Amino acid sequence: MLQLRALQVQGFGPFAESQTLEFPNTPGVTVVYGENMRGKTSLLNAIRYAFFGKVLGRGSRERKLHTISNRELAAEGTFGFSVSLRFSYEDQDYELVRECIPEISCPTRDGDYREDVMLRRGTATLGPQERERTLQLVFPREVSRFFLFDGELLQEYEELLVNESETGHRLSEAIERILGVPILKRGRTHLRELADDADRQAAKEASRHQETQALGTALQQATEQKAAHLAELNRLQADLADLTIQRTDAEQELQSVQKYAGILEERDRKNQQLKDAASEEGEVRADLQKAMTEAWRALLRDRLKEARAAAQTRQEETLGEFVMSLRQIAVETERCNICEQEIRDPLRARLKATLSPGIARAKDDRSDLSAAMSRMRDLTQFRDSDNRGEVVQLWKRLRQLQLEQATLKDRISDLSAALRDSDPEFVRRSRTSYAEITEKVTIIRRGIEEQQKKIDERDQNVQRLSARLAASGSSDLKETQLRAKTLRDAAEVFNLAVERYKSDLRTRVEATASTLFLAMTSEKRDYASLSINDGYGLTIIHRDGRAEEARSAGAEHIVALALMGALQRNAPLRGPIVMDSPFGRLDETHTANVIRALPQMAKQVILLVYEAEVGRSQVREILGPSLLREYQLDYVSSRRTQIRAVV
Amino acid sequence: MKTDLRDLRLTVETIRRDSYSHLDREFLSAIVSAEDQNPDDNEEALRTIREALALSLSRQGAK
Repeated sequence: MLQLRALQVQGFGPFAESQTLEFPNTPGVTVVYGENMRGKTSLLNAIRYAFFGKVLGRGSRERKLHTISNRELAAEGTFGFSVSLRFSYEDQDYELVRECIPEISCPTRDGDYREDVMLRRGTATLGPQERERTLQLVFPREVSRFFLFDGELLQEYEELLVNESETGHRLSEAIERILGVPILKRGRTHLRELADDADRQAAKEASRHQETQALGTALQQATEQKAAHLAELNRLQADLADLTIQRTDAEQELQSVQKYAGILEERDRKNQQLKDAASEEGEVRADLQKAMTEAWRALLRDRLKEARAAAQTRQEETLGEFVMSLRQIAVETERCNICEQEIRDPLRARLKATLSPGIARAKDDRSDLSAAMSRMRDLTQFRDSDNRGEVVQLWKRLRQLQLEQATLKDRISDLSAALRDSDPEFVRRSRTSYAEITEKVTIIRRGIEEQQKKIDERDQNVQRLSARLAASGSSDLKETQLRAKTLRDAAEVFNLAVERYKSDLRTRVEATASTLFLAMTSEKRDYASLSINDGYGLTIIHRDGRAEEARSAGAEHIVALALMGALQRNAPLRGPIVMDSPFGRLDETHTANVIRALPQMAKQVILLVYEAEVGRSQVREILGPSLLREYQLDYVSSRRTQIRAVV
Repeated sequence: MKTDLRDLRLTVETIRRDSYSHLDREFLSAIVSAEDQNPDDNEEALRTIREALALSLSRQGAK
């Protein structure tokens, strides 16, 4: 079992000079008190850095190592840091030292540093390969989340209740890993590989003998077909493993740009709106220009009306004069000038009566009439439309669009300022890349299922042929066939063991988590237990037998802590739990209950808290002899913290 | 961090005892150890299993 003995930090976060935390070699809890900004998370990260060379920030995002150097020393021109961790594992003492050393005098990025790592077992320093192998064995990175965590990481466990959730799927895999399921799965895979080898060997031998040649050849073909599908399955699984890593990276990348992604999305939308508004402005301007070429007509409308009326009068007058002149001529000449017919007396007398006496002879001037009619025609033909309403509407829309564009430009400018520290292309690429990878993962998973089916079919064929070959009783084949059968049976044992072990584990994890949950919850009278699902998600069961669908943030937190403790207690992988400010969502009673349960969760617990979360006297009273040691992170300056053992 | 493979071995042993009693208990236990010790080294795990098989078969007098 891994047990931490001492952590020494230098230049790491607020810890400028070399300082050490010693962890007692007995089961119990070590508590480190520190107000905000004093470096509690830095201590958690120092352990993480020692083992994995990584430092995590908010949202589990990887932090740039350049930003980890103590700021006070960096201001004086001293960069870099080192972490030394002493631990024991399987009764052997180890010392792990990881240093981040600047290679130039004024580094500005991670590339300006080199990393030196040293792992010593007893007095022997391990070579790079052995060092990495040992570290992977002592503390696999994939399960570190169950040992080094903060309140934020605990929140992720809610995802285990969400079917088809990617995070939940990843967590389930990590849980199976800590529970040791991969040991059985790898055993199954390796035994099947060796059984296939033995089958191929048996087929080869059988095909050499006349009496078993046909069967041997058929078996050879069947094993080759199966091998081809297996090769394809392996390829797909390797692709899936690569894609899973890629997706984790892409997800982290996406999380790190999530804030920017929203801003970028809005900016893209606003840019499109600006483009649309500009385009509409162009159209409105064209319409307005067209409308303005006609607008002057409206100004002439009244004058035109008057002119038309005058022209109408003039036309009627000249027409009247003309008619009179025609009648006068007809009376005088007794002939009609229009139809050239003679006008007899009665008609002539009637015509004469229509002529006004005493008026001079009416003019027979056709040019006046023609001019009056022509003017009337011209004035009638003249368009006097009034498009002032249309012009006003267009002006209004134009002004609206201009205002809209100005507002959009302002917003875009603000959004661009917010994006100044980001690379919009990177944000876009992150989104696209995550979506593409997720799609590929789905396709490959489908492919794996198909290949698995084909392999099972081929395997049945191989086994049928093997059985027939065995029945043929050839003594030469006996040994090879025994080897193949032993391996196949062993593979089946491991195959059955995977499901049974998982099922047993779920039962045990459920029972332990229920015990821990009931110890930690303040509503013991209401709740009966926790119920586990296939993905290790836990549901609270009320005493009336029903599941509690809606859970408070505090309840989620308690459930997550119960799961952590249950995994620790049931997994072959065990080690220390280091918790950073885990009580943020809990009230006083729950906090006290969790502290009381800590010694049950793991043999070694290191608790990083601020006193407002939990009082020192309360911790001492609750933990009693299980409280092994206390440290205080003292303020020296905003950039410097002193670790002090509390006596 | 790996210290306790008892439950894993127990699961494997129960299945062996109930359904595959002709298999050698030591052989199956050796496979659990091989996989535990070589999580990232398939070749070494396979080599160890081959050796355990040879030993098991020789114990049973097959060789």
